Amino acid sequence: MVCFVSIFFFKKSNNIQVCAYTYPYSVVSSVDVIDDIRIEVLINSKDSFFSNINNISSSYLISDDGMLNLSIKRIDDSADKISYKNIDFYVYNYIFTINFSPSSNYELLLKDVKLGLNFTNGLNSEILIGSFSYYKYLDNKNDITISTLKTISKQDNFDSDFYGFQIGIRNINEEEIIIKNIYLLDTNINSCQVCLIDEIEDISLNAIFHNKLQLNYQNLDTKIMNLEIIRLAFKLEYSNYEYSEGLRSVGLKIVYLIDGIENVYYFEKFTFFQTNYYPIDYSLIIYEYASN
Amino acid sequence: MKYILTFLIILVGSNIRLSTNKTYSSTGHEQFSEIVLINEEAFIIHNLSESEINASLKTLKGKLFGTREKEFNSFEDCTYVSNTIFSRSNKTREEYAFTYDTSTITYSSVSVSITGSLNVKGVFKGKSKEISAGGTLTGTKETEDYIKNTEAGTLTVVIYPNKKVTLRIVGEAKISNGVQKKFFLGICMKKGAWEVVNVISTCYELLEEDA
Repeated sequence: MVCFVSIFFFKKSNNIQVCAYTYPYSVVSSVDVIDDIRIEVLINSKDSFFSNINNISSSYLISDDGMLNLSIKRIDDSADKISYKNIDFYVYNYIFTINFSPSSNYELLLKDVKLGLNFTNGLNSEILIGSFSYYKYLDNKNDITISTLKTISKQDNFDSDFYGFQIGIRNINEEEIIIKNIYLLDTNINSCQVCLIDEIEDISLNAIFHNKLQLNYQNLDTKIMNLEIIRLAFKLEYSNYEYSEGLRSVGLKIVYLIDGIENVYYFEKFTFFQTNYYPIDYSLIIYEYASN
Repeated sequence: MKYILTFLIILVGSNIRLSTNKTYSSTGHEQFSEIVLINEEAFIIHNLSESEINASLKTLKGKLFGTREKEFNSFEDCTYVSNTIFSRSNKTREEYAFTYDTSTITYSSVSVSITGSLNVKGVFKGKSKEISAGGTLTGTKETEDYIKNTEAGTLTVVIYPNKKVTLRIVGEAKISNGVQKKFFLGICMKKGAWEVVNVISTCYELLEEDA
């Protein structure tokens, strides 16, 4: 009996494959705060040169709308593993410090933003990560407080996502206040449907807006007398829904008038909605680099 | 004789319930103060009596090796309210601002509750896979560390006189539960009820009430 033994040598690809989910990243803080940002990067190899902080010489965010320099602070292995197109990717959290300190109110909105990494071996990598909305404020007025914030995460079916929220605003100024605008500080949220409500309730979105008089999002023009509270419901309208899945922490900017003078109140990022599941049916761009 | 005695000691020992100091929970899961199932016919293990659990266990037939299981609910939709993150009252005449570091908030994305002599790890590994059936992406954890931090940042609230402000986490989850017996050489070595809650979404809620 003759036995044939075949030995096949498989040459494993040495290339590093990298991709990232597209998220709506944002920062809302005062000008005297130094901000960090955490960006998820998926790499097909554990402990590769790509996830070694010592190999990164510089980093930045870039899009057609502008650029922002970053400093890499640390890289954490999240211990998550994702399978995509039959490739196992390990999820790393890249933590950066934003190298920018404006001295007055500042806004930078980067759509289709890429994370740029320059490596010590000369490699330059730019990975699409979604959008980045950056808001810095000099001074926050103390004429109003946000008394209540409640997410509306589903419509009439059990479809879980960030669809809207209810907000209670109290006037703590002695004068009457007119609320002009309440902006959600994210470049992907185009507009909102808004209505006045009597109570903050655990209720679906369509039920809240049923038979309610809607306000003009561009000019709410709603009065709050001294020490009174108004309650509003917002239904979000996304300009780019693709970047809006997953984590949704958003800041608020409230523009109001006292005696005809415009004032602004910033409310820093509030976690309206966060899902624990990685998005399915996603199209990720895979970037490939030589491993050395 | 000594082998029979050793065998009997193992058999008895595996069925002894170790008393542990457990903190009280209204749901059977320490991090959830309230769980509401969407399907009215579904239920959580905490609402079953010991006699009901034992009656279900008795319906499980023996086997030589392995596990017999009866699942009551499989990935049933529910909403939950977690334990309060903070609650501050202002009984003064002036409002004051309070800043909370939200990066310190952690929660388990998977919560396991067991009764009887079942092993948590054995239940955990079987019921805690990420749900992504039918999708092109699947994710699993390589470690058993399902503790998650919320996004880093601070939350500043102004508490008005005679008011109380509470921050809590609410959201949606999926619940699976049932009873299980594990056999070795035809002898039931471990048995009890189990329940796994997979957290799907989390939302902060900031609520103001009278102090």
